[in-house]
Amino acid sequence: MELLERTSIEDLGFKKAFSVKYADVFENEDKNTVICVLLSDYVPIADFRDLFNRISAVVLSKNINKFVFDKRSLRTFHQPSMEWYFIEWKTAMFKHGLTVHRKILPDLAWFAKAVEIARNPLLDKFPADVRAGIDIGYRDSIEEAVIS
Amino acid sequence: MSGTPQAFMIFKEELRKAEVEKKRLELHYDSKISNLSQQISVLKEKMVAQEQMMKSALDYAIKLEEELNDVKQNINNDLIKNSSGYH
Repeated sequence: MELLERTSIEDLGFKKAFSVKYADVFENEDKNTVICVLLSDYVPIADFRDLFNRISAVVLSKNINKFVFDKRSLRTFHQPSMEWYFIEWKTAMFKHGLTVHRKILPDLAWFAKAVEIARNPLLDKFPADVRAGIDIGYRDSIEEAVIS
Repeated sequence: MSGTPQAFMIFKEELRKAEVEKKRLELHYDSKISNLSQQISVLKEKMVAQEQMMKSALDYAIKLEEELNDVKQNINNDLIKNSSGYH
């Protein structure tokens, strides 16, 4: 299953940008897209920030405007990590042209609901220009996330 | 009269080997302890995160319950009002 998914990411024209303990990150300059696939059920905040700081470097160097975040392996999310990613990282990246975010959640209703509960208050914290210009959507697969 | 007795030289060599082994074991267990401490720290952080998720879910359920009770109360109030209305 995992092998099939990895093959399909590469079949979609992506190459691996880097790998860390908790994630694989792929890039496609023609599609101006970066994909981050989480690999574990939980990512400690320090590793989470390190991961996203490394993704920032890819975004800044490759003119990336779309970010696909595959969180299907997650079972627990750390609220401060989520706030930092949602507000600070997305706002900073928005200023560098990363405006489209596609997310893939685990196929678990309770997890999707937990994300929704945690996310809704955060939406109000976005600066007005970011709120107006950012495009956040949820998809069921990487392929779907890449093409739409 | 010979110099240092051979037994002493053997003892000294064994002592040196024991010290090297002690140092190796110290490094080995320090590394294991450090690794375990790191794993415990991640598990603690994960438990706090799970607690927070549960708390958020329960807060949400409580809020929904309150809203449901308010709706029920409003329906009851309307029924009472309507029962003494134009019939």
